[in-house]
Amino acid sequence: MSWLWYLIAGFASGILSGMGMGGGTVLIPILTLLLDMEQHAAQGVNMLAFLPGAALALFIHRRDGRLEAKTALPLLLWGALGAVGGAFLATFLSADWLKKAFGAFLIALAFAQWKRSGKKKNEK
Amino acid sequence: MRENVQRADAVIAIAAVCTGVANGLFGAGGGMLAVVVLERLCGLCSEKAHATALLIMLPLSVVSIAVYWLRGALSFDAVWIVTLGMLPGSFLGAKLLGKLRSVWIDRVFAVLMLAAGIRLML
Repeated sequence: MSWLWYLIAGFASGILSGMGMGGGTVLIPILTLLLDMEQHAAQGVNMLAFLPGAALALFIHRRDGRLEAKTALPLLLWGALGAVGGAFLATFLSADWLKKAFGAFLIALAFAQWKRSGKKKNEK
Repeated sequence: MRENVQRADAVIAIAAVCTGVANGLFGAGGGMLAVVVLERLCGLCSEKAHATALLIMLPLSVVSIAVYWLRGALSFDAVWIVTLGMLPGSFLGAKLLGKLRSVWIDRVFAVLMLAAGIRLML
């Protein structure tokens, strides 16, 4: 029955990512803590599962004119540099250390999310 | 004036590298950083920032996936099932976005992330 849990994990993180709250930060801990997946594997699964939905959403955003490609380009180029470095670093870390580092990253994101939560409403 | 523009460009570049590192190292969370960079540093409105963040995170994820794959760290186990759940989930989430998103949902989510983070570090 473990396939059902994978389905539920994907569904739950999909809801959060649809709401713009970052699905991977939910999916990865579910996969590692509840479903005993190895840390690197969970991170890879999250990125792979993100691709089709993101492509679909981009198609809709493009149609509705919400994409600022010019703004994105420099971020994309610099970001790609960071991604190569970060991904290599990840593959040289043991699953145990990567898990701990991921935990620290989540805690930092949690504080940022809490701080931002008060301001969100006034923006729109 | 010119100096300010250059400095802003440098800050954006550094923030973008950090976004990429988060994506590559943790396979998640880069999008949240990208949204903040696009809103605060590039001055996009929330809606455009969320959409444009995807335009950045999709190729970055492909880059990271390629590195994981080259290094033999990529696993395809359960990918199809997770994706199958994720697609309808994101549609529902996008529909709920306007209605349910509130300060309290954000905070509940923050507490959940904190709890998971602590558990992962133990």
